[in-house]
Amino acid sequence: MGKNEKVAVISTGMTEFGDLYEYEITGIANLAIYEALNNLHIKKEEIESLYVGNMGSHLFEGQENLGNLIATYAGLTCPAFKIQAAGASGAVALRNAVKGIQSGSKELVMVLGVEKMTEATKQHEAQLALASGLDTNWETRMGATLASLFAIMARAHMREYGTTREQIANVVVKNHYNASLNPKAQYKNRVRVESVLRSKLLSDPLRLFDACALSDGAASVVLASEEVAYSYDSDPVFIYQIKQGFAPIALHQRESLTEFSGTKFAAEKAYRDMGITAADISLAEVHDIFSIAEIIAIESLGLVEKGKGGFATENGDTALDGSIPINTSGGLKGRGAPLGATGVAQIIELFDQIKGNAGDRQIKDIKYALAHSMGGTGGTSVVSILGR
Amino acid sequence: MSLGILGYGVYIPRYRISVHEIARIWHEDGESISKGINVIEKAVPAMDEDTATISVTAVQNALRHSGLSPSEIGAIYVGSESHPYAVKPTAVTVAEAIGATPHLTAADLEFACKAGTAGMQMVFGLVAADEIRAGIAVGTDCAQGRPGDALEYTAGAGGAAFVIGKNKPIATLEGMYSYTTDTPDFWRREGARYPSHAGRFTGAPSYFRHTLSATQGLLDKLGLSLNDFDRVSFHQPNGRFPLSAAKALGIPLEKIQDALCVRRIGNTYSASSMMGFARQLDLAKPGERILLVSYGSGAGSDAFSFVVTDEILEKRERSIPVDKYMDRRTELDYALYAKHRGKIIMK
Amino acid sequence: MGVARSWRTQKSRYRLTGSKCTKCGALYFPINIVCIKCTSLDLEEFQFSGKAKLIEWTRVDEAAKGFEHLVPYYFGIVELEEGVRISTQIVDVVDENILQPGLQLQMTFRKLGEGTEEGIINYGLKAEPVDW
Ligand SMILES: [Zn+2]
Repeated sequence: MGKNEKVAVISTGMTEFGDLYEYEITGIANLAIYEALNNLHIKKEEIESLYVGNMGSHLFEGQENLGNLIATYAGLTCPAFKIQAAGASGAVALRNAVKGIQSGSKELVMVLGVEKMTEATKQHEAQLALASGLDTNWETRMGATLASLFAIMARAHMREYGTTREQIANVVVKNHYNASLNPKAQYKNRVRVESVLRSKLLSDPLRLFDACALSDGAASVVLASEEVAYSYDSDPVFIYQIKQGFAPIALHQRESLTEFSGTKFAAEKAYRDMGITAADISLAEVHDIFSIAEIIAIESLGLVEKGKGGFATENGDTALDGSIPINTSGGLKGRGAPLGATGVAQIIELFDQIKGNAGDRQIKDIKYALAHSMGGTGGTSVVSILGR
Repeated sequence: MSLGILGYGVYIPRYRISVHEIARIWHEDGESISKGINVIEKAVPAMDEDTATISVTAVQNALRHSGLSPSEIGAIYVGSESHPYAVKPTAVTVAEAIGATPHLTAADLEFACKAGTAGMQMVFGLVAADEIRAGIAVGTDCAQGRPGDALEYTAGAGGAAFVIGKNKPIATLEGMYSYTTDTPDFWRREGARYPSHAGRFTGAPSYFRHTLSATQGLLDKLGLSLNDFDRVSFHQPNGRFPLSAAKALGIPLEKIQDALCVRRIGNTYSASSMMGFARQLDLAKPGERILLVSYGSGAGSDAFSFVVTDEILEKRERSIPVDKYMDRRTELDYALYAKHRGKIIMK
Repeated sequence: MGVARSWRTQKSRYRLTGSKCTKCGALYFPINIVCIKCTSLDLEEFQFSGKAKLIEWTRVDEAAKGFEHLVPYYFGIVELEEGVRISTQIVDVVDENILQPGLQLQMTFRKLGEGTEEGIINYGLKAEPVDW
C-alpha cells in the first residue's frame, strides 16, 4: 500500500460547542458518534477501530482509559484508545486513523475528538489543564501561562513585522463574524475591534477576547478506504495529505518566535508530496487558540507572505469573501474550543464546505481545503489537505 | 596566617516605604516620628524575596569578594528571626544555591537581632580550631512589625554575610566578648504572626545595658580604650539608640555615623549591626580598628574588635558597596507595601 | 512542584547548572543525560554564568497558579551568554520601557510560585536588569 492512497471522509457528526452541563463526556461522545453513524446507516459493528482525540479528561474530570469508557457507553466493541497531543489531540488521532487505513489493515474507522472542559468549575483547575501542554518544569513553573507565551509571540511579531494590535484584533472580529453564520458555533455574537481592545488584559498585549473560552463538545468522522468509500458516496471527500510536524515543546527552545516551524514543515511536505502549492488551497481552518496564532499559522502555511498575516487579515484577504478565507467555521475562537474536538471539527467544516453544505458561509469553487491543528504553543502541528 | 574576615557582602531589597507614608495610614505625625526614631524609610522585600533569597545574594556577594570557591566553605550559619520555615533550615538552601554542598556543616540560628553575630563567633571558633578552612556567617531578616505598632516604622529587610578564615583577611579579629542575660524585652511565641515588645523596657535594661556592658567587657579583655577605635557599628533598632549608646560611651559622632544604615533601610534585625559594620568596611583604610557590637533581645550582645589590613584595598573592586544597594530604591505606598508583605490574605 | 522533583531539579533551578557534551561541546539547560546533537551519553555538568540578554517579554496580568500574588509580573525568554535560551520571570522592573530586546540581565535567586502553606517553598532563578 502506497503512502498516496486516498482516505475518504464519508460521514460526520458534531455536537454544539459550548457549556453542555447536562451531558457527561460519554453523552456528548454518543451524540457525535451516532450522528455520524446514522447519517449513512453505518452499523456500529462495522467500525473497526475508534480513535479518540482528547487533551485533558484526566485533568478536567479525573478520567483516563477514555477510549474504553467511550466505547463502552457507545456500545462499540472494536479497539478504542485515546490519543493525546494537547490541542492537536483530535488531529493526531485523525492522522493515526488515516495511517490505519493506508496500512491496509482497516477499511472503516471512526475518529472522535472530544473534550469536556466545564467539569473544571474552578478557574485555576482549567488553567492548569490548559498549561499542561507546556513544559511544566521549565515554562509553567517559571510563571508561564499559555497566554503569556502567545503574548511573547505577538510582541515579537509586532516588533519584527510592524503588525499592529488592531490587525491582531481583526482575527477575532472575523472569526466571530464567521461563527455568527455557523449554527453549531458557541459564540454567534459579532464583536468589534474596540471591544477586543477593551477586554481584560491577560498578558500584554493579549486580552481576554484574543483567547478561546472553555468549551464542551464532540466531533466525529467516519473514515473509509477509497474502495469502501464509493459504496457509501459516489463523490467522496478525500484526505489527500495529513502530515505531522515537530517543534520543541518550549517556546524558548525554538529558533523563531514568529513562526510555527513544525507547521511550516508539515505544510511544505504536504504540498510537495501532492505536487501543489499553497496557491492551490481555497480555504483553511487554522488553530487560532489565540488571535496571534492565526496570523502566524497562515504565514507558516504559506497562505500569506511571511510577516503579512496581520495586514492580510486587516485587508479582508482572510474573510469569507477574501482571496484565502480562514476559519470559515468561526475557528476555535468563534465556533468554540473543546480542545480535543477542534482538530476533528476542522475536518467537518472542510467536509461541509467541499460538499457545498456550509450555508451562509459557503466558499465557492473549492479546489483544496486545508486544516491546521496545533498542540501547546506549536510543538505539535498537523496539516491536512482535503478535496474531492 | 591570622584569623579574620576574608570577604563580605550584603543585599538590600530595592523597595522602600517612608515613615511618613506609614504614619499617614495610622494618622500619626510622620515628621515627629521620623525625627524621634531618626529613620527616614525602610527596605521592603519584593513579593518573591524572603530570608533565604536575601541570604543567598548576600552570600554570593561575600563569596565573590573573598575570592574563595564554594567548595572551600566548611560551614554556613544563617542567623534570622524570619526563617521561611519553622522546621527546615535556611542554611542548606543557601549552601545549595552557592554550590557549597555537601561537604560542610550548616545550621540556622535564632537570637533576635544578634543571631548573625552569633554565627560569626561560631565560624571564628571552627576556623581557629582548624576544623574548617573557611566558613560563612549570615545575618538576614525580613522583619515583621504589627500594622500600627511602633515597630512597623522600622522593621526592615536585608542581609549581610561574612566569609571568615585565616588566609589573607581584609580585617583581622583581635578578640570577641559577649554579655548575655535573660531579659524579656521582645519576643514572639510559636505560631504568633507578629512579635511583641515591652515598650520602654527595651531601652535601659535591655539594649543599653547589654551593648554598653559588652563593649566594656571587650575593652577590658583586650586592654584597649575606645580611643583606639576608628569606627564603630552598634546594633541599630532605630537611628536613636546607637547614637545614645555612643554618647554614653563618649564615642564621637563621626566614628559611628557611617554605620547608621538604619536611617535609610530600617532595622534589618539580624543584619543590622553587621550591615553597619559592612558599610564601615566599605569606607575603612588599612590599619583602622573597628568595633562591632550586636544586640539581640532576650537578651545579649556580642562585641568584636577588628583591624583592617592592606588586603581590603586589593579586594575592594570585587565588592558591591552597601551604598549601591541603599541608593537603589523604589518607593511604595502603604497599599503596595501591604501587598509586598503578604498582609493581603488571598486564600 | 512535588518534593522529589523540586529536589531533583535543584542544581539547575538554584545555580543554573546545565550539561556540556564532552564529545561535541553542545550545551544544555537544564541538566541533560544525552546529547541530542551527537547522541553521546558522555555529558558533564556545566555551570552557566548567569549573564543573559532579553529576547522577548510580556507582562502577565492573569497569573499562572501560584503566581497570583505577583500580578502583574514580567515574564520573558532570555538568552544566556553561552547561547542557550530559557524562560524566566524578570524581576525588579521599575520602568517597563527598559525592557527592550538585548537588555542585559543577570540571574537572581528568588521564590518561585507561592505554593501552599503546608507545602515546600520552591526557589529558583529569575532575571533582573544588570543596571539598577
Ligand atoms: Zn554531543
